[in-house]
Amino acid sequence: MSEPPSQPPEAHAAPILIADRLQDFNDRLSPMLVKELRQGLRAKTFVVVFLLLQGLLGLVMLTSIAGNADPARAGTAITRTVFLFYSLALLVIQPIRGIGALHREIDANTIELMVLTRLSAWRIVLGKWLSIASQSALIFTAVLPYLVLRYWFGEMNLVGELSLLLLVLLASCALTAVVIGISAIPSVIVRGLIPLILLGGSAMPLCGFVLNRDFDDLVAFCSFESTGDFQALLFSIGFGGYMSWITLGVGASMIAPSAENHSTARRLVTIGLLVLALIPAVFMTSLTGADRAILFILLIAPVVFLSLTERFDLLPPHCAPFVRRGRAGKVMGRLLYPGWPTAVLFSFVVFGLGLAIYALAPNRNLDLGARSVVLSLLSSIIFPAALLSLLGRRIEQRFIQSILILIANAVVVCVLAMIAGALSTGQRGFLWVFSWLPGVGLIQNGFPKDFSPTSVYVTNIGVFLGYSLILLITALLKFREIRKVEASVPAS
Amino acid sequence: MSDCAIRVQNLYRYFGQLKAVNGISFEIPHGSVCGFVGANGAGKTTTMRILSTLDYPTMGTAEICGINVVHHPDQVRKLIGWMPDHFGNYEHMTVLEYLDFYARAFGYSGDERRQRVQEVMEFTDLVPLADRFSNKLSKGLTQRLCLGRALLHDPQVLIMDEPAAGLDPKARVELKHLIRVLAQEGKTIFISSHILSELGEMCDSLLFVNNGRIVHHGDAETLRQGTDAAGGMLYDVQITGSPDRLLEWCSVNPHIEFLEARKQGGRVRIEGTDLELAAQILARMVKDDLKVTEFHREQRNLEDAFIDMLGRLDRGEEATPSSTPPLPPTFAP
Repeated sequence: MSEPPSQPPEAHAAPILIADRLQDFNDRLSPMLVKELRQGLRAKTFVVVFLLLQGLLGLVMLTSIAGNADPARAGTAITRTVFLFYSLALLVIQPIRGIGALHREIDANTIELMVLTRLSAWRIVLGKWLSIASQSALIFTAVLPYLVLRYWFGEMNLVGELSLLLLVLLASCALTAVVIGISAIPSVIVRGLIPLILLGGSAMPLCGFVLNRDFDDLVAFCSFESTGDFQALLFSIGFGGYMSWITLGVGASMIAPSAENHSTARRLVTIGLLVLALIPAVFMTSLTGADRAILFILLIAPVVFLSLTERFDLLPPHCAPFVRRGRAGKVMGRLLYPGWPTAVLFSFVVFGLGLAIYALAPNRNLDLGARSVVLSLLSSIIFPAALLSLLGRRIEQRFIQSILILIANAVVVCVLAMIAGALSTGQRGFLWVFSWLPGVGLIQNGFPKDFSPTSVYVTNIGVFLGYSLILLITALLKFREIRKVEASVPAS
Repeated sequence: MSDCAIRVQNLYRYFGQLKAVNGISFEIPHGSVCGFVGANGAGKTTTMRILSTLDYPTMGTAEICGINVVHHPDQVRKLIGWMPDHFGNYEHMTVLEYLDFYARAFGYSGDERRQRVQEVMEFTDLVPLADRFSNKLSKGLTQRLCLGRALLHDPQVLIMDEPAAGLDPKARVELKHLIRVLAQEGKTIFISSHILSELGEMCDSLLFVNNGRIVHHGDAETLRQGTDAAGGMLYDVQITGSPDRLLEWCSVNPHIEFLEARKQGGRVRIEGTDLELAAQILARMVKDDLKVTEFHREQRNLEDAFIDMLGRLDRGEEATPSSTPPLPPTFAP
């Protein structure tokens, strides 16, 4: 029997599979981050910014050395140029890349393909944010060598400049989070306007600082020489993180399938934070009543506003975890189920907690004017929801409508403030006609000769209670539907 | 496991005043290919989106392999592969990276991930296009890529919304071939299309929907051999000799009508849908020495059948005798 013909050498080798090339990113990385990095690192906006920044900084370094006999002056010129371009890249260009990040996916119908995988809406949004944030971090690390070189020129506040560099990166990440979070909003006006205001508001002042003498003060502030500076910075970072989490959550809930619930976690975290804040607020005697009020409003305003703008599309999967915990679970559900009707009760609980903080605090030194301001701000938060409830019909885009109502209210209040400012004492009584508008109380507070603080305070209480009552009644009318959905939850 | 891959009972979906889906009920057994037919706005996409857990019903129940799509969407998503009617692709991402992203998103890692990507690329014949940017593919190749994505997690049920829309004839044939192969592998396929003839070739059953209601559920053959617009059966009868003999015979016999003369014989219509009666009439024809050489029942194309059906509905008649009777009403969620 003849031997089988020997096979060619290549037949013995294992076949080369095309998919074997897929080893560029570790399995532990989020799929979304891998996707965004693959796309982002090829995007012209990143490549051009990165290379331009490198080229410009190199050029500035060389011209500063060549043109300045005094090394310290050359060093300052380098620092300012580095910060100018770095701030523009991180505070303007990088966040702008997030505009439309989610909307493009919604338009292309690719969000639905993703949510059918194991990726939750939250992981999708987080991956998009992480990708831009990590590219910003790449720019941060690319700029560091220039600061190290600048160190040899002398007269450098190393800690201050490095801290500022890092803070700009953190601010960029927070701005990117806000831009990505709202990028799912269908309205191009709202989606574009908010980032424009935010980016303009953050980049312009910083560029102004960099270009004039205040820059040294800013660097000194960032070197944490006083405890107050450090606390203020920590608070800013904490608040930036909180707002980033909330706005990314807005994006996640907008792209999530109906059965996904993002609201309960958001509300629970806010209640948790309030309870945590209660302890220092009660025991810290250094805090004034105004400090507490500001902290309280900053903490609750975003979540209360968002909760009240949620659509009421309650489904059995939303209720199931609560219903399975029996009566207590159902009671909790009245506060934590997604949708604006339960958000009304949630808001009242949060306001109650705020009152508790105020009542338990050692120094309750809020005068009537300050109380009116707090009530005006709280009324402003609940006003859009109350107005939409009065309209009665089913509103598809509650969030956008609420934002537009908020903006319109702010514009009207600004116009009234300008008119009131142009008039003399005794002619501002017309403001009573508009006192149902939240925010008008703020104007009235500014003219104590025309409006007694007590009457303004009482009016503000009336306005706040009026809107609360409207919300409460309309919300309670919806509770029948909640019971119906609860009843349809399967036993197991 | 449930005896049905897809079960829908009294499903309703309202968008404000619009009744997109208006109480439909149907069942699709495991391993079958079911075509979902209807005009634009008939409720096909809404029904498919509910089954894919992307939308939710106003009322009624929908189950995939016995699992309620509203109560357990996460479990249902593991069982289904979804191909939407339109979708975009990503910039700066190759075909290989596209499939790798979804394989990661479906929870695959390491060698298993690479293996799944490789298998799907081979099945959909995308290996030569691995390095092509996904947004630069033709419509046909994009559909293949989308099918590959839907198959990555090896779903039991494939829900395809108008997958053949906008494809050239070659791409259609390729897609049809892939669907046939998947059906042979035992996957349940629920597919919507406007091209009825194609659905007829690849589907075990057809589900006709009109104004949010199911108007027919049966196999394509039944539909092709169904009654004409006036509720009769059409036969082509060939005889030796003049067609006038057939005309004369029809005029003196009940339940049969001569429609038109043909070269040898003619076209006749037998009243009703009773096959027993048809057999008796045809037997009598032979017995009466008409010298019949051939007769066969005419098959209509599916488009005509669909139009006939809509016509009947407009006149307030039942769509077809084989329409699925409605199931008893239930309520969920």
